[in-house]
Amino acid sequence: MPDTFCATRLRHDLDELYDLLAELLEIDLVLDGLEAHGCLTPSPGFVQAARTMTLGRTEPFEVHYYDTTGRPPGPAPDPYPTQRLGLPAPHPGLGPIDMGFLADAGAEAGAFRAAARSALDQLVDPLLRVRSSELRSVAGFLVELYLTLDVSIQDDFAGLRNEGADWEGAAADAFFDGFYEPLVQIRANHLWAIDYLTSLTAHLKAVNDLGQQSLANLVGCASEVVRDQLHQRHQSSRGPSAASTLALLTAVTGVVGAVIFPVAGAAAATLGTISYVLGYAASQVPTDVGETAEITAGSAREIHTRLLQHVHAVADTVRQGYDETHGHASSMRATIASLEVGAATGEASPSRVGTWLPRQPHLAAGPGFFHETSGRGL
Amino acid sequence: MTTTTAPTTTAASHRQQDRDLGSGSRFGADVYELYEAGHVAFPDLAELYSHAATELHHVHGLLTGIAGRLGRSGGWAVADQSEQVCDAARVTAHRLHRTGEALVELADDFRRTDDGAAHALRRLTREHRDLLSSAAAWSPPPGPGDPVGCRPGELLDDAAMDERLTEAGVAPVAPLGPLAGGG
Repeated sequence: MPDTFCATRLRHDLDELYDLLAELLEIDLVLDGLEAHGCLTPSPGFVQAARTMTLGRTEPFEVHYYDTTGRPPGPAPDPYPTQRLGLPAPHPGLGPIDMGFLADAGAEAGAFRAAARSALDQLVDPLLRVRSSELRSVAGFLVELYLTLDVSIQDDFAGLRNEGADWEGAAADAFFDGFYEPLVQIRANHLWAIDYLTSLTAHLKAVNDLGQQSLANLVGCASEVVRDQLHQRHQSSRGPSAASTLALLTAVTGVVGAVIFPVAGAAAATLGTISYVLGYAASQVPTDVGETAEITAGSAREIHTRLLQHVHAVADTVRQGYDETHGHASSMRATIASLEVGAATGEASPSRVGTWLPRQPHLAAGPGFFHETSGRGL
Repeated sequence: MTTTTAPTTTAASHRQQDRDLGSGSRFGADVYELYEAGHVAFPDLAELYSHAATELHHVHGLLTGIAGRLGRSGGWAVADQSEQVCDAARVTAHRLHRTGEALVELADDFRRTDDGAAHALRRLTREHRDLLSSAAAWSPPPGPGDPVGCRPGELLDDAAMDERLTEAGVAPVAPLGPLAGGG
């Protein structure tokens, strides 16, 4: 099954998002600078040349501005027009306005882009290092192995159960009671372990997939907001924009919680549920799992801040998910430890037979291993 | 004088008793069962476990690589568990293999003690020569730290996996009910 999530595509989308955010920031810095320098409105009573500037690349628009404080009507410049005419001084001085803020806006937007992207990458990079298909491959190998072992091993695989009663002696008893018969339970426990390992792998995969899909959703949501902001600038508006999406923000629930971990000794395998999880988790953050993440913002910096907060929440949740996987792995280790100790062989015998590894029997023809047709004990 | 002859008598008696292991056709038939088990069934199962250990060795290698990139203890914990299961398969494979060899040696020892058993064993091995010649060849599983080789063969896709699960009686199910549409 091909991955529905592509880290390269997400990085490309992030590049595009931060290009748009830098574009929005530069537009806002220019607009704010023009307003702060009084370039957006003409000075009444002065002769000024209106200039036009094109802002933005995504939805370009024109801005009319004035880059000088102007001069009063008449042939000669008047150094003190505002005082003489009693007009309010639109600018602190006369003559050309320092329009250096236009160039500074570009530099500031570029610096913002680099710093913001770097901050986000520190959170995002660890979430993109493992492809979903890698974990699916591992689970696929385990499922194949489980099915191979499950159908290949019979309880009395060597057909010795009926003949066992005819062999006598301590070594014969040790072979049949301590080795051959426990193999039935040992084999069942090995199947359980492979089943459990498949569940652990599916758990890792679900956490990994949902984290990655959450990232993709959040980047898409932020892109939606920034595009709306750029459209608003095109329409000479600067109100806030809002968008929402599904993301894994506070808890690993739903599909991840639905991964069933088998119980040693129980007959039913959980591989069926695993196959469901394998296909399901890779596709999208399910509605019954994800929480609604909203981004409401009116500037590039606000959009970045909200995105960073949400990605931080996703990264924390993913870490919790992996810690949960660790807890399940610890349970498996504890169960195996109890299987190694094993169960008592019976009320009459204080010895215990481990059901994790077969005990190597000592076989040699002699007093410990003989047939009932011998003259012994008769 | 009895003190010097008694030990010899006792030792001879023990040797005789040690070699009194069974006799007759039923004994011979059961010796053959041990021989066949050691020659066919145990090697088959040992080989199956060796294959499992090889697969799990590969899985452990994959999970170790994944854990290194996940950077969280959960990944390492899963890789450690895969190693533990791999060790179990490897140890089981070796013990099954050695037990199979020991059963063949045991049957051979029994054969030497009784003409009837030797005759029955010869006859039965002749009759089952096809079965006996089909025994799996022993290929030891990889040991800890051995390089992880390439795994031949295609990985099951979702449809094939679901089909195999269904054949094995493990129906794909959704967490809250039967799965519709294959997930």
